[in-house]
Amino acid sequence: VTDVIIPADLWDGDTEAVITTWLAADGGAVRPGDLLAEIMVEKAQYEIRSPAAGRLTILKDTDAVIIKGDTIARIT
Amino acid sequence: MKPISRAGAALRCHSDPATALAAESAMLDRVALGHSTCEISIWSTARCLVAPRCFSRLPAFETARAILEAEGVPLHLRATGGDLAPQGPGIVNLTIAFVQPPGRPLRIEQSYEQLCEPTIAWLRSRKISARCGPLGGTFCDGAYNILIGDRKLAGTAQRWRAGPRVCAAESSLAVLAHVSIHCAGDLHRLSGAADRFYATCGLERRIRPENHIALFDMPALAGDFVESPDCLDRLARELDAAYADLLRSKSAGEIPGLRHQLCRTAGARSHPPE
Repeated sequence: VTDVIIPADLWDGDTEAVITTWLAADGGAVRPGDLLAEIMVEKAQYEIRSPAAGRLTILKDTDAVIIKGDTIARIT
Repeated sequence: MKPISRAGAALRCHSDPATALAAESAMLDRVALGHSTCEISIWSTARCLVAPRCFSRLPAFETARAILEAEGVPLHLRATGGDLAPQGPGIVNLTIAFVQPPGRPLRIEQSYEQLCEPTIAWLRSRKISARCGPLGGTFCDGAYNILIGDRKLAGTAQRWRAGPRVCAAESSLAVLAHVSIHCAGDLHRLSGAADRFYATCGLERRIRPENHIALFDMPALAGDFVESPDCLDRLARELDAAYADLLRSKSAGEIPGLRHQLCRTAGARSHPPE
């Protein structure tokens, strides 16, 4: 099992980010490097790429507010 | 791929906004794939509005887009974050793409500061005082607008790509950073179109065009600069020089196995401001 985690050192302070788009399907197969989702913080669009191969389980939906270090999905 | 000469960088004018946005996205792809470590492009395009791709999920998006299209204001989607932003012949965009090597962490705020500082320094050299800050009622408002007094001159946005697809280095980061400078012409037509887009989509935000300022309206630039027929090209050349130090530092990033090179888009014939 591999968690898809928002990097903890991506931005300063406690600014919240938003998941703007999921580009991979919940339950779908993913490969390392696949573009899974995009989050937006401070007008910066950050690509979330798959860290592993497997089946994706989305834990935080589109428009969910997230913070650094959040786990937004799981790959099994 | 041979390094491209640093000389002769000039404004590149895209008649088609979709082509302009695709060219910008391709910069990020190239640095992420290791084809170059740092690129700069200074460009403009035809009048339109551009929105982050996530806007396409708004339920009334296509309706709003069709309304704007009928008004002669096409709406295009872009790769960077934010909100609706104006484009047109009087708006000069400067885009840089670079790879941040492993072991040299970069935060989004730092990247914005690095992006804005050369423009602010260039303005200072022209005796224009500017700073970063938010300003409500402006296009694509954010903490890293470039403001002159209490009016917005330029907006900024970024796109970040990390992970295994970046130069095959797990912790490398590829960054596309963009500053859009309002140089000439007024924004009333585009702000009206933006307001109709927001209203159609049920969004309460509105644009106050009087909160914006055009660079060439600054008294400090009156005279030979603004009256020059190639004023936009001249601005592009001066901005290119202003970003030279930043680009040198970015292109000197040490990533084993990569050739360090700086790519610039070749200048094309420019068109006059609206």
